[in-house]
Amino acid sequence: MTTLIRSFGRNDLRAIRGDTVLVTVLLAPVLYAVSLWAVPAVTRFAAATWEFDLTPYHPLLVSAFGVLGPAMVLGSLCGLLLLDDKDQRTLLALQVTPTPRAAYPAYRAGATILLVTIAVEATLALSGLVSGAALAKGVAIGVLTGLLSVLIGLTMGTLAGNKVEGIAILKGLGMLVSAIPLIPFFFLDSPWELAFGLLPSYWPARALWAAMDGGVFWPYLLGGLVYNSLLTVALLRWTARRG
Amino acid sequence: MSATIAALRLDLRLQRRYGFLYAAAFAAVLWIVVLNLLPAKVLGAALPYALFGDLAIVGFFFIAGAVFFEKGERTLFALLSTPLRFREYLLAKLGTLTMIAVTVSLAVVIPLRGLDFHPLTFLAGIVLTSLLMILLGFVTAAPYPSVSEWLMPALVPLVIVNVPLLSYSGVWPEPLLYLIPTHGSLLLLGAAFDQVALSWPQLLYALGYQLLWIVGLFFLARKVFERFVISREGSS
Repeated sequence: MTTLIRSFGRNDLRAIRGDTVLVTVLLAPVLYAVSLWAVPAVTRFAAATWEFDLTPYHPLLVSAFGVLGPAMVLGSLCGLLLLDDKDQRTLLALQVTPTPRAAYPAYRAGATILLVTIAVEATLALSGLVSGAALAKGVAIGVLTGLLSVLIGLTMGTLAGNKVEGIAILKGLGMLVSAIPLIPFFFLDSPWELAFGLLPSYWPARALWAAMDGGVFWPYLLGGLVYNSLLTVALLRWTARRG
Repeated sequence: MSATIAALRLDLRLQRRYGFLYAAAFAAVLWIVVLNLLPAKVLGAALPYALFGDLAIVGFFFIAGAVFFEKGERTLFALLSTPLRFREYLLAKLGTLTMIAVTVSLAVVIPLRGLDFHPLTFLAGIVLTSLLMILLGFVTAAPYPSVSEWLMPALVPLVIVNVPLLSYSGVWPEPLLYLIPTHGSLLLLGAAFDQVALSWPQLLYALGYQLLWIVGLFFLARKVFERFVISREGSS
């Protein structure tokens, strides 16, 4: 298994000139964190201009820029790499080697989860809006976000025949990932908020709100891990079957 | 002219085949759902952000996807060995993608607001923003061999064009942000929904400055195309 990961990893670094991945992981969190640096100024502005207190909405902004944003960017990258493989017939080539069928997509998923976890934790840390206690939970939220990125990638990789269709699917997914999961923030005391749990993107955002507000955190984390893992495994199997 | 019309028709067929039309329609439906949840008094303030942040800039990603794909499939070279010239090819892309942006924007705004907006500033805002972002997508994408490699660097221009959100909203009233052409986009879209009262100089700035950028980027697009696409038949 380690040999597999090593050889896939080496190939990755060759294929997309390691610096692209490196730049991605470094640049995306920095850009999102920098966007979040405007939050204190916006908060002061809202207070001075409309006497509106934005502070309760900080978790909402952090989830949009610190969790869902990186998930979308790195998920797109995962999807595009899978479509690269489709173009280059990598999966076909692997079928004549003794590697198990799901090994390659599983490796791609694992690598994505690792990168997203680092990116999310870095964004939350750099944002300056997240307390130490919430940052500790941020690692687990990062893993959960990584699963979301994998789902975005696999959806692109399976539904799109080529990269141009991949971009179209990305556009369709955009709102489902970055906007719709933010809606339940406005009625957290209603049981209806759980209906949004059908969207894999709801769970990491919801877990972050709980982490930042000091509410009950574990059910959302575990619920998300279970639900998103199930979806990931189902999609991985489907991808492997379709080759 | 007829070549441009033919190119437009061909390109629209391509956009449908790529799935762009369906993707844009799907995004529009979701925007209606989200914006519909807002209280009526906030809707006018929110619309310019929604239009600017998503609906008017679909072209940025779509043009990149199309260019990489057409490069990879060699259709670009096939097209350019016909009497179709690069200018017509790019005009067709600008035309179809801007049509999509305008249609989607109207499809979101009319169900929510009816005709309660200023059509001229609205159209000017959407069309200019769309043209600017398509050209920006084209110019930044051309040097890269594949869409996977462009995705990350593309975040940089995306962040820069979003900086005027700070000046438009009043959070950071920095006159220097007028240098970023999308400040004009926001002024026009804001005026369309009575969020800002435009003075004549502001209106001239919003229209003229963006047009200046569009014309400049159009010529840059040709340069970039000759240098990166024609001279090396890149792989997708």
